[in-house]
Amino acid sequence: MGNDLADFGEFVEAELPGLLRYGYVLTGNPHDASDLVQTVLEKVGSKWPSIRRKTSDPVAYIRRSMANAHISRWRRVKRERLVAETPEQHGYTEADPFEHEPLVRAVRELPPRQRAVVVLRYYEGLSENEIAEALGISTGTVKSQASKAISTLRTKVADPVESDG
Amino acid sequence: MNQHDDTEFTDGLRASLSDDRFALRPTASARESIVAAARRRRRRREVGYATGGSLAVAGVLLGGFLLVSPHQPEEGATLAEDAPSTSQPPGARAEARAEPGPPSDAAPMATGSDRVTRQRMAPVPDEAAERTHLGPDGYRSLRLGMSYDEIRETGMLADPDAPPPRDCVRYRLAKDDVAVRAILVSENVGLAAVVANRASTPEGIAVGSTREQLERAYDATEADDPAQYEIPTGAGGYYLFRVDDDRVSALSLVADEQDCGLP
Repeated sequence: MGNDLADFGEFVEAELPGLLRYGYVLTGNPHDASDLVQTVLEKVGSKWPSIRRKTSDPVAYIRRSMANAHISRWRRVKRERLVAETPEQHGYTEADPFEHEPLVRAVRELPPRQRAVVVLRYYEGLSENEIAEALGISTGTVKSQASKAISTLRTKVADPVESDG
Repeated sequence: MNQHDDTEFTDGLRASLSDDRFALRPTASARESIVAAARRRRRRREVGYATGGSLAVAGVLLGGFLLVSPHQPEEGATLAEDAPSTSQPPGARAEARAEPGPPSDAAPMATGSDRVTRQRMAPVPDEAAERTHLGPDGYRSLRLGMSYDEIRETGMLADPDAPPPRDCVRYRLAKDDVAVRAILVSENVGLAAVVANRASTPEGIAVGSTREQLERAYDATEADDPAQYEIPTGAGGYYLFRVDDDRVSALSLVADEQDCGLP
């Protein structure tokens, strides 16, 4: 069992920065991102040979899994080890890097499913059909969630004070 | 809010989400700790498989015990006596009920899932066990896709005079079928779903099973949707498990072809 997990190790090494970044966009904060990536990768790693066999694009599979895990707000106990370097580990609390980015802040405040739809659509570049398939919802729901999200974002960006709440 | 505005807005959104401040640097030990955790998780599963041979056979038996509520002790007793144990040495049942210990040296790691698959074919011969057995294509004499008339002829409906379905209708089964709460019958495709109450799958999973047991039994990953698992039975349907608080909270056998709005 050493060899296939060595292969998995290489995969992790190569994909981790991209997955962490995606996790951050998806969850809106670096700690949850790290948590989500670690949780999903552990599971994937434990079934790596079978996932490799069944999935032609493991990264897409992992990103979908992360979106779903994020939506269901499913969390195990908080990890002791974080896989990303986050500000607190450096002994200081960093100001929110997006403090002056009303659009990013507004995305962060969307309900999880709307945010996942927005991230998959505008960060991952998936089509509505692909998003529907990834999240196990209908294309109609994708459309309505996206349209709700965009309209919320527009309102908040037009009046950013409100989103400071 | 015309098309041009929309495009401009979504372009701005794309740019914001691609902001470099979203970049996070992995820790030096990230790769190692993920691989180690994955290995531990896999080993835990393999320990499950190693003892799975006897556990799978005892699954029906244990399922019976777990699923029978205290006010119906006689049913539990029947199940316990009748559970098949012929392929196991006398000590196996007791062992299976005991807490799973460390993996046996004799248990081959890599072939764990094959062992379980073979065990899944263990027959469930007697009637009491049959009543709690939600098979891959039906329940007792009910089969997925059966027409309403055929269903009525089985004599299993609580109300044999109930009118045939319009669209999709839920029918209760006669009350001696305590293991199944109800069925969904579609006007177009017939028996669309069997909703389990205490029934368990041939792999021993039932309402009340843990997520861990479910994932182990079906080699399923929860990553797709942690609250819902759809496991194809290969016989024209799939088991639909809902999971709340890491336990199976609902189980149905659903036809692949149905129009009752199930996933």
